[in-house]
Amino acid sequence: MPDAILVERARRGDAEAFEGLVRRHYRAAYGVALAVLGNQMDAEDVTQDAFIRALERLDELRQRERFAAWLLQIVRNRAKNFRSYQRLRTGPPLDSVNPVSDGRTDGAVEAAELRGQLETALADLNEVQREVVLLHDLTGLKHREIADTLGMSEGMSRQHLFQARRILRRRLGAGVFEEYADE
Amino acid sequence: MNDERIDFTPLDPHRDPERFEARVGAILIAAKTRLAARRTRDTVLGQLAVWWRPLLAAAAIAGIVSALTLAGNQAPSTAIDNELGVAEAIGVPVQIAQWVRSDVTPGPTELLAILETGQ
Repeated sequence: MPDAILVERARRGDAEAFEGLVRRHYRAAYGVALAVLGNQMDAEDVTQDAFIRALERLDELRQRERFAAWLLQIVRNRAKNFRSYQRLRTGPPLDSVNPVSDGRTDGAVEAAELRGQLETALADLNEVQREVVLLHDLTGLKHREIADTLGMSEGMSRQHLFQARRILRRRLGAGVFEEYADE
Repeated sequence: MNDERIDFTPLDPHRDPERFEARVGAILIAAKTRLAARRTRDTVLGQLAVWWRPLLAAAAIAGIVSALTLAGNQAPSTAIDNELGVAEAIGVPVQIAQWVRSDVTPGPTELLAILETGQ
């Protein structure tokens, strides 16, 4: 079902339609939040907050078929506000104090380690590079969609992706690459 | 162009279905009251609830206009009072001015009494 129909139904209070939008766009929203904030917990919280904010402001969305780009803009703004707030706080984030808690299975520990490596490597990129590479490689958005969401040309999106991958390759080694055709 | 996509699977929120469902559930719980409010807004009673403040404001304006209109209708009596005040100011006793405005004809005794007292 197209986004425009789900948006219209959600606007009238249809919980299933809203759930459909959440499930469809969660990964992209999370990717943008992660690009700005750099860690899983904060990205999840901001993603949740952004979906609620989007629901509250749904009447303001005139072009309902553009829900995804509109939502991601809300996520970006919320994430940046959250980051500004975090900078005012003192002390290291909890994740860095205790990255792996006791009682986890080996698989969970390994996943947490891989996640930590990726998050550290992503920290070497600038914010736009992080957004582009996560939207493209994690979320699966096309350059046209990324350009629309981030307000840049498709050419710039390609360039940022190229730079981001080059930096990450140097940082992580060859183990995290997969062979894909680029669109 | 570099065609090697980076494997971000460890960062994929769908990688851990239990965690993903928990997050979606949390969003839906947080959205519950807002969605309910939207459903209510779409009913007739809901529309009334939405419009009750503007309706209340309109009723208040109508009340003020009515009060002003009523006040305007009572203006003649004020004019009469003013005329009596003017008669008094030029030395005509109030009682005589009232007799002049009304159809009551005073008796000679009453007239003499008023002229004597000057009130």
